[in-house]
Formats: sequence, C-alpha cells, structure tokens
Amino acid sequence: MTFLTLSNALTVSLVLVLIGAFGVLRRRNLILVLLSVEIMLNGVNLSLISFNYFLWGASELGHYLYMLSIGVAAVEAAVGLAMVIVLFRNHRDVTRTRIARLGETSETEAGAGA
Amino acid sequence: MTPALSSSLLVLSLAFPLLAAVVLAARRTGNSGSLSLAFAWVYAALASVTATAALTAPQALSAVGSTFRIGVSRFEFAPALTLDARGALFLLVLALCPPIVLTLLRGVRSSDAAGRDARSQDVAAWALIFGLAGVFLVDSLLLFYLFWEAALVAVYFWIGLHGRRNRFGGPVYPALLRFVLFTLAGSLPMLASIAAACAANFRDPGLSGLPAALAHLPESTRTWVFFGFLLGFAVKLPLFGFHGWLRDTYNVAPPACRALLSAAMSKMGAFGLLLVLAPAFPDELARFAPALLILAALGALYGGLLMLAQDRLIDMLAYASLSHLSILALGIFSSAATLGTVSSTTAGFSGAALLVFSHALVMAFLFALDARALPQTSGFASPDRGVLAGLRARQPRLYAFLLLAVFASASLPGLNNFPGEVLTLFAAYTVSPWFALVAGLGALVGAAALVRLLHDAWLGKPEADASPAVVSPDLSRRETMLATAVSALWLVFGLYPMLLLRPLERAFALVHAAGWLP
Amino acid sequence: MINHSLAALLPALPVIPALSALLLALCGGAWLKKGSYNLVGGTAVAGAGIAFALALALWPAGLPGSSAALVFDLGPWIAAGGFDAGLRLTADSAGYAMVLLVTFFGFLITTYSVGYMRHDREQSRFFASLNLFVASMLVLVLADNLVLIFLGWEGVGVCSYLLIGHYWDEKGVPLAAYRAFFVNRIGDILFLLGVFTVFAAFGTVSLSELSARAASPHGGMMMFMGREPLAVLAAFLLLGGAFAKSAQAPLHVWLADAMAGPTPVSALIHAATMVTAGIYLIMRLDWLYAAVPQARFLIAACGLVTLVVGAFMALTQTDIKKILAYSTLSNLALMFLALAACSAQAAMLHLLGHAFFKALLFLSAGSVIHAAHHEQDARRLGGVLKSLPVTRLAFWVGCIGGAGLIPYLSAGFFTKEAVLESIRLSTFNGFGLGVSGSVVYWVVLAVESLSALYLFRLLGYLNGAASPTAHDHHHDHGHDGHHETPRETSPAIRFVLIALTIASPAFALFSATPALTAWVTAGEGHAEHIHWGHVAPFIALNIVLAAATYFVFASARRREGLLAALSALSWKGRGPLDRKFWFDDLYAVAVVLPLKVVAWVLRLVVENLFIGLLHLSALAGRGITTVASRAQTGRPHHYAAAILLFMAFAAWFLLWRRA
Repeated sequence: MTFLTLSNALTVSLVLVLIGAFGVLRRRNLILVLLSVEIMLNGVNLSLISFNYFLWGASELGHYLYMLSIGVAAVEAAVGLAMVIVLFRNHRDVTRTRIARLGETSETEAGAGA
Repeated sequence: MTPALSSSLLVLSLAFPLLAAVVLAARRTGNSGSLSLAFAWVYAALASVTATAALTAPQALSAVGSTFRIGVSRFEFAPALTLDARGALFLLVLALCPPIVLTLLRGVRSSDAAGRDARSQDVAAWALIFGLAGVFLVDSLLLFYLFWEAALVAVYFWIGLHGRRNRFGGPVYPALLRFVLFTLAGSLPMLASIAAACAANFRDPGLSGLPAALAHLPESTRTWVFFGFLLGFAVKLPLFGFHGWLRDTYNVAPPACRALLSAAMSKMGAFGLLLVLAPAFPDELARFAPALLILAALGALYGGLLMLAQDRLIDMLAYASLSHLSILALGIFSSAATLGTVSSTTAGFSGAALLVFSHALVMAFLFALDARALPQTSGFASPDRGVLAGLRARQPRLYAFLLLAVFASASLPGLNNFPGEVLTLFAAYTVSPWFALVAGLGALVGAAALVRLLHDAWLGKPEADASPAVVSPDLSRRETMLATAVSALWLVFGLYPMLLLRPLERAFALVHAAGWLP
Repeated sequence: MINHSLAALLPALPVIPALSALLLALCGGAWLKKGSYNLVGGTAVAGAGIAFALALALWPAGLPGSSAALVFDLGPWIAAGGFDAGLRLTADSAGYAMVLLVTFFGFLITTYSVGYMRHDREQSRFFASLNLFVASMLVLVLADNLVLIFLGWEGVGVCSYLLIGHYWDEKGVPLAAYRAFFVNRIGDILFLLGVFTVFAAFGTVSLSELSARAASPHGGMMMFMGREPLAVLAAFLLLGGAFAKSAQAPLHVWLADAMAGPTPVSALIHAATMVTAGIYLIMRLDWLYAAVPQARFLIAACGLVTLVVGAFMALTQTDIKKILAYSTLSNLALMFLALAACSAQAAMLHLLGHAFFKALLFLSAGSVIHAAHHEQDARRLGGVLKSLPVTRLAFWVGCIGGAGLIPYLSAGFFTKEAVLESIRLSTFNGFGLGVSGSVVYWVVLAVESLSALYLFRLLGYLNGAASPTAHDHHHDHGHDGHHETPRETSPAIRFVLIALTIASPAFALFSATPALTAWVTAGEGHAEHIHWGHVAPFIALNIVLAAATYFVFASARRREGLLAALSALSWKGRGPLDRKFWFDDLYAVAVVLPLKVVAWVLRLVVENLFIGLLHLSALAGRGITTVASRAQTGRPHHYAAAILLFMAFAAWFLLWRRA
C-alpha cells in the first residue's frame, strides 16, 4: 500500500491551505496571521512539488515554480514583519482591532469592537 | 477639390477648436473674450468652407488615418473623418452659432473674484465646440463616443464654474449633477451598443460601415443595439419623455452655454438619429415607428402647451426648443416609417436636416438676444412678465430683431424655418394626418405664447419706475450689423432652400445606393 | 392671342415693392432722423406706383376676357422626396383683375398715407410694412401653387399684424394685433393641412395643373374617382384657412379689433385686399367646391351668420371705423354666399365693387379722423363734415354707393345684384339639410337693406348738427387738443379722395357692362340681366330708409329722442349686440381657458414627473453606492475573507463549470 499518491498529497496540501485560511480569518494577532499565510503558501508549494513528481516527469517546472513561490513568500514575510514592528512601536498592539482602527479618521465613526 | 485638400480641411476643422482652447488656456492675463471671438470668426470661415466643399462635392469628403491593430484579438481600428452633405449642415451650425452668440453676449460674461474676465468659460466653450466637431466629423464609432462624452464634460465644467442659482433648479451643482448623470445613463447603453457593433467583426466599422456590420447579427441582438443607440440620442435631443433635464439645466447655465446647448448640443441627438440610426436600423425604425412618432408629436404639442404656462422668456425658449426639436424628430421618424412602402418619401429626412440648420440659427439668436436684453445688474435674469413693460421704447432695434426671430421660429414662409417645417409636416402627414395636426397645433400655441410674452414685456406704456435697474441699452452698430446679416441668411435660405436641398437629396440618394434600404 | 413676352414683368411686380420695403427698413429710420419724411413717403409711393405702372404695362398682353394665362417659372422652391412646390407665377384674366385692384389701391392708399402719417411717428416702419404688404398680396394673387400662395398668405398676415400694432404703446393695441395674427394662424394651420391633403389626393399642388385637369372632359370626373373623402377633407381644411383670412364666423372676431391700426391700413388691408384673399382662394379652387356640396353648405351657413352679425353690430356701434368694419364683414359674407351658390363670377364682381366703395368710405373716415386729431367716436364728431368739403362729397358718394341707392353711380349696386341673383338661382344642400335659394335670397335682401340704415346713420352723425357734448378733450397722439374747427390740411389726402370719388362711380358704370363679367370669368360667363321691375321697389325702399335715417340722425334732438326711446327696450348691456353675439366669450371659454388649464396642469404635475425621472436616476446612483459601500468595512479580515471566497468561486467556475 502506497500512501504516496497524487490525491493523498493534494489532500494534505488542501488541508494545509484550509488550516492556513482558518488562521488568516480567525486569528486576532497579526503575527499569527502572517504565520497562517505562510502555512497556506506551504500547502501550495506542496501541491506544486506533488504535480511535478507525479505528473510532469522529466520536466522540472514544478521545482522552478516552487523556488519562485518561496522567494515571494520570503519577501512578503519580511515586509509584513517590518510592518508589524512599526505598528508595535507606535501602538504597542498588533491585534486586528488595532489595525482596523488605523483606517478611521476623526470624522468617521469608530467601528464596533473587534 | 483634391482629396488632399479636403482631408486637410477636415482635419483642420477638427483640430482648430482644440488649438483655440489650448491657446486660451495658456494665456496668462488679459481679456480672453476678444480673442475667443476672433477665433470664432476664423473658425466660422474655416468650417463654412469645409461645409460648402462637402455640399458641392459629388461624394463625401473623407480623411482616413492608418489602421491600428490592437490587442490580442487584433481589433482593427482606423481613425477617420468623413463629411457628406448631411453632415455639412451640422458643421455649418457649429460654424455660425458661436460668433453670433459670442458677439451678442460680449457684455454679459461672468468674471472671476478679481473682476477680470474669466478665461475658463472661453476654454470650456472651445472644448465644447471641439467635442461637437468631433461628433460631427469622425467616422469611427469609438472616437464618436469619445467626443460625445468630451462635449458633456466640457459643458459640465462650463456650468459648474459659471452657472448661476435659479428659481427652478435651486443650487447649481445638484441640478448639474442630475443633468450629467441622466445624460450618462443615456449614453452608457450607447457605449454598450457600440461595443456590440465593434465586437461583431472585431473591427471598428465606423458610421459608414455600421449598416453592413449589423447586417449579420441576429434580430434580437440588433433590437437591443438599436435601443442602446436610441436611448443615447433620445436623451440628447431631447425626445419627449427624456426631456426632464431641459428646464433646470437651461436655467442654471450661463447665457452663452445655454445658447450653445440649445443650438449645437441638441444637434448631437439629431445627428445620431439622422446619420446613425436611420441608415443602420431601417427595420427597427419601421417597427417602432408608431411609438416614436407618437412621442415626437406629443413632444411638439407638449412643448407648445407648456409655453402657455411660463412667465419667463428663458423657460419659454427652452420649451420652444423642445417643441421644434420634436418636429425635427417627427420628420426623421416619418420618413423612416414610410421608406419601402407605397407612399415612400425622403421629404422627412431632408426637412429634418434643414430644420437642424434653421433651428440652430434661430435658437442661438433668440437665446442670445434674451440674455442681452436684460438689466446687467440683475445678472442673467430673464424678462419677467409684470415687472417690465414698454421696453421697446428703449430697445427698438433689439425688439425688431427679437420679433423677427420669433416669427422665424414660428415658421413664417420666406424665412428659413419654413421649408424644413413644411417638409417634415408633409412627411408626418403621409403617415397619418393626425401627427401633422398635433405638431401644427403645438407650433401654433407655442408661437402665440411667445408673442404674448413679447407684447407684455416690450409693448405697452413704459412703466416709469417698475424696472428695477437700468435697462440694457439697444443694440450697438456692430450687433445690428450682425443681426441684419443673420436675418439676411434666414431670408436667403427661406426663399432659396434648393441650395441645401439639392445636395441633401443627392447625399440621401448615395446612401440609398450604398444599400441602405432593404 | 396673348403676348407672352410680357410674362417677364410678372416677377417684377412683387419684387419692386419688396425692395422698396427693404430699403425703407434699412435706411428709413436714418432718413427720418434727418427730417426727410418726404423721402420716406416718396420711396414708398414709388414702390407702390411702379408696381401699378407695371400692372398697367401688362394690359397689352390682352389678358382681360382671354382664357389663356401668362406664366413665369422661376424654378423649384421646396422640392424634396416627392414634395414639389415651385416659384411659378401666373396671371390669367381674373388674376389680372386682382393684380390691378391690389396695385391700384396700394398706390392710392400709400399716397394717402403720406398725407395721413405726416405728423405720426415711426413712419419708416409703417411704409415698409405697407410696401411689403403690397408685395405679399401680389405674390398671393400671382402664385401658381398653393404653397406659394401660402407665402403671400402669411406675408399679408404678418404685415397686417405689424400695421395694426403701429400705436404699440396704447392700451389694447398689442392685443388687437395679437388676435388678428393668431386667429389668422389658426386658419393657416388648417390651410397647410389642406395643402397636404390636396397633394395626397391629387398628386400636385399646382393650381393651373389642377384647374386644367378639372376642366378637361375626362379628367374632371376621373380626378375625384375614389378620392372623395380626401377631396371633401381638403375642401373643408382650405375653407378653414379662407374663413380666418376673410373673417367669416366663427373666425371673424379679429376684424373689428383690427381697427386699432391707422385708417389707411384698415382701408387697404381690411377692406380691399387682405380680407378678400380667402375669397380669391376659393375662387381659384372652384372646381373643388363645385364637387363638394357640403362645403358649400357650410360656407352658406357661416356666411349668413356673419352677414347678420355684421349688419346688426354696425347698427349700434359709435366708433366710425367699427361701423365700417362690421359693414365689411357683411359684404364679405355676401361674397362667400355667392361662392356657396357656385358663382365665383358674382363673388369676384362684388369683391371689386366692394373694394371701391369701402375704400372710399374708409379713406373719408380717415380724413375725418385726421382732421379731428384722431377722434373716432361719431357722437363727438357731430357736423364735422361741414368744414371738410372734399371729404363730405366723398362720404356722400361712398354711402350712396354702399347702400346701392343710385344704380349707375353706386359701385356696389350691380355687383350686389349679381350676388343676389346667383343666390336666388341655386340651392344649398348638405349635412342632410337642403335650403332653397329663394329663401336665402329674401333673408339676404332684408339684411342688406340694413346697410342703408347704418351707413346713413353714420352720415347723419357726421354731417348733421353738432351734438351738445361735442368738442370735449379727446385722446390724441401727441398733440394738444385744439378747439378749432377741423380742416382738411393734407393735399395728398384730398387728391386721393377726389380720385376715388371719380373712380367709384366710374367703376359702377363699368360694372353694368358685360365687359367686366367677361374679364372676371375669362370670357366664359355671361352678364346678369337686371329685372328692373323686381329691383326697383327695393331701391325705393332703400332710399326711403336712408332718407328717414338721415333725417333722424342729422338732428341732435331727434337723435337723442330715438336713442332714449330705444334704450327703454334694450337689454341693459347684456344683449347680443353688447356682447358681440357672445363670440368673444365663446373663445374665452372654449379655446383660451382649456388651453390655459391644460398648460398649468402640465407645468405643475406632468413636468415635475419628468423631472422626477432625473431625481430617480440620481437617487438610484446614490442608493447603489450607499449599499455597495457597506462592503468597505475597514476590517482586514473581512477583506481577506472576500479574497478567499472569490478564489474558491473562481476555482469552482474554472474547474467544474468548464468541464
């Protein structure tokens, strides 16, 4: 019995994406949101490698796409973490309610709670 | 006339207003009014030459640019200009109305906070003329739409910057916004129709190629495309039912804008009906003709009746404009309805084209005189019944020309509105005598109301203390000469309309031969 | 038989007065400012005079009595898509008579006006309008197709409006001009629709072509085959136009008010020429009306009403010009009755005769008014003629002519007899009713004898004793009231009066000859034989009535006595004569009021509905944006949810739907 089939790999990848999505939507702390985004990206990377391994044979297209994806993820993580640091420095709070309040001016009504 | 010369004339006629607008915008100081007027006279000469060339040439004039292939689907697009005898009349309107309006309204311009003559109204005026020239001259559908909206944008700025609060519409900006949104609501379906027409063959067919491009579409699609175009033109003309913007917009607009709106911008709708709708959708027009004819006839009657309940000249002229433009539409729809039947006649088309020219001249003159006649200090007000009387004692020449203009708009034979009106009413009669009767009644009632107002404000004993401020002086020598020249034009085209009718008939025959009729 | 080379004169006839009108319009004001009134008057007289000379120059063409016509074609005027109206002028026998009439009276009355308007104001506009009127009337008379007639038709309407409104700052004058113009315009719409109907029925609007077709043996019947409804409709519509222009009931209301204009205008336009245009039109279309008896019945009915209204109103008016205006109404009705009796010949004859005596009467009245500094009330002008010798002679000749007292010297006598004979000999059928001509004949005869009454009543006032309340200060136009006796001060006025005093009886003599009948009917008619036995009693009756009336009204005492006796019988200001037979009220209630009500309802209700459409589009836009902007919550996890949802949807769409 091989556990290593395409559909299993894709299922794992889907589970990772869903876990990441759940985290993006429900986590209040920005750092944990960034973490969840990384998990989603890893899920996608897994599916890329699986496709390359199971379907595309000699071609290494999947590997190239994987490298591209990692590069983008790294850049995005860097920028995101930098923003987190600035936010913390100014407000000492990196929850999503704090971020939502960033969009308010003195004339707009403050959104209700978290 | 060589093709090169005619192409350059066309391009110049299109580019000149843009140039004028740019030059006026770039001026730093000084009175832009005289420069604008000078430009208007130059453009009058230029556009008249172009129009005459188009009237006398055996074929349409054209100037074609190189073909572009855009995008993934290799969409073909060739910017082109074209002018035949039908379009020439529209260009003549554009040539002759600005000088008339600008000359008569020299004293009635708004100024900026420092009291200097505001440049922006001249820039906006020339931008409007540029948009209109584009609409009348271009042959490609996409450019047509571009210029269509450009004219609207120019008017938006003109009214927005120099408009005036009025009794009916309230503050300027809301009225302006309603006008713009409503017109847009009409033009966006037109954009959809243009897109459909272009998507049929992945090329921009141009106005001349539109009938062929639509020929292969299924009938239901063609009907929707027809309605899209119809909506856009109906709002601009305006056709009865779509005319709600008239009163308030004319009231908030500055005088020169008002005159050009009625004289020139409404002709965009007429242009669309005559040169886009009629050649390309003969079946749909014939099918919906009864409803359209009823709308047009009702519009004529409605405009006339409403004039009876107005006490300001501005409002009366706005509804007079509605009434006459409805008669114009009546002519177009009547001819479209009868083509291919036993009593076929193109009299309606020719009459409508003539009315385009005459209505514009008369309306520009009337609106300009109306604004000119009034006390300077009360801004752009209009003669109010019961406040002023016996103005004629102080403005005899102005009254004489005003009366002549009112008679001209009432289609007095011998003046230039008559041939057009007779032909359109005749065409309406061949469809059904009731249309001619209703339209004629509307014209009669409207003329009666206008003359009545003129009598109340200008005739009678001058009220010594009733007029609140100094009444505008009578027409100066230069203005009188201009007015005499315009009246002479009316007489010439009233007594010898064959000058225009012969080229028009030729042009309609050419379009027919090119496969317009089923 | 006719000299066609003279046809080249035809276009010159209307063009010359038009050019002089243009010249006066452009330069007349400047000339007046420099004080050269005579130049202005001279130009006007030259314009009308040259037209008259040209008309006389057409005499050698041999038109009178000939059945051929001069034709001059200037090319197409409005020709597009099947509709064709050309600039074609034609003069046949009857048309030439009209041309002579128009130019003769145009010339005379322009000359008269030079004297009359000398101390008036804005004379350049007056004379320009007068010349333009002559030009338009000539176009009307010479036109060969209905659309060109319409050009002249409207032209005379406009000139009438301008001339009636001459004293524009007086109360009631602008309204009079407005009513004259717009009642005419109602007729014009009907006329235009009639033109279209003619085109639809017969394929052409050219009068000569239509008459030729009607006159040819086959064509006459073929023309109407299968087209009866259209022909009937055309007849009625064109009749509407004729009624408005020639002031027949119910479109007659403008004529009395038109007297607000200067008197020469009333003489030229509202007696001799413009009001006869309707009759001329029907005459030109006599082939159509011969085939539509219902239309003729309507003409007869309205003609009778107008006849009665005119005669009775003239009996009680006190304004000189109004009396003459109502008299004109009656006479126009007579001409229409002749047309209803299918006798265009009689109508035309009376048209000519009436022009002579009515113009004479109006011009004499004008002389009186001018001498008395624009006093028009006959009650205040008692005995004024005593100091105006030429005018007195002219007035007597005019009144005798109008009442037909002395056959060979009364310009209207033989012509009226022709009308009466034609009425007696015909029947009027239509709308299921039929009336014998004899009945109508007696009615008309009775009403016509009233003309002796009202004319000599007027003469009695003017020529008799002065009334005790005379010489009060009366309204004038810029002069101080003089308490001196009125004098004839203008040689031009006197010259014209003398000319007409001679011309009027001369025409009477001419009208007794068969030559005139031959002229008017292009050689086809025959002169009426007057049965002197039948006619003499009526002449005697008229003479007696006239003498009695004059006797009563010439003396102030008897006059006051009669009026006192009559006032006991009167309706105290509410009778038909005071309310002008309620026609004005009818207009106010049936036409003006509904229009005003509808207009205001439209303005207050319907227009706001249409403006509401704009508010609707603005509201729609605002509503959509308000709802759509709720998606901008400002909370990033909402945006993230939206992104993920969309991606899921896209994945479903791409993967499952495509397959």
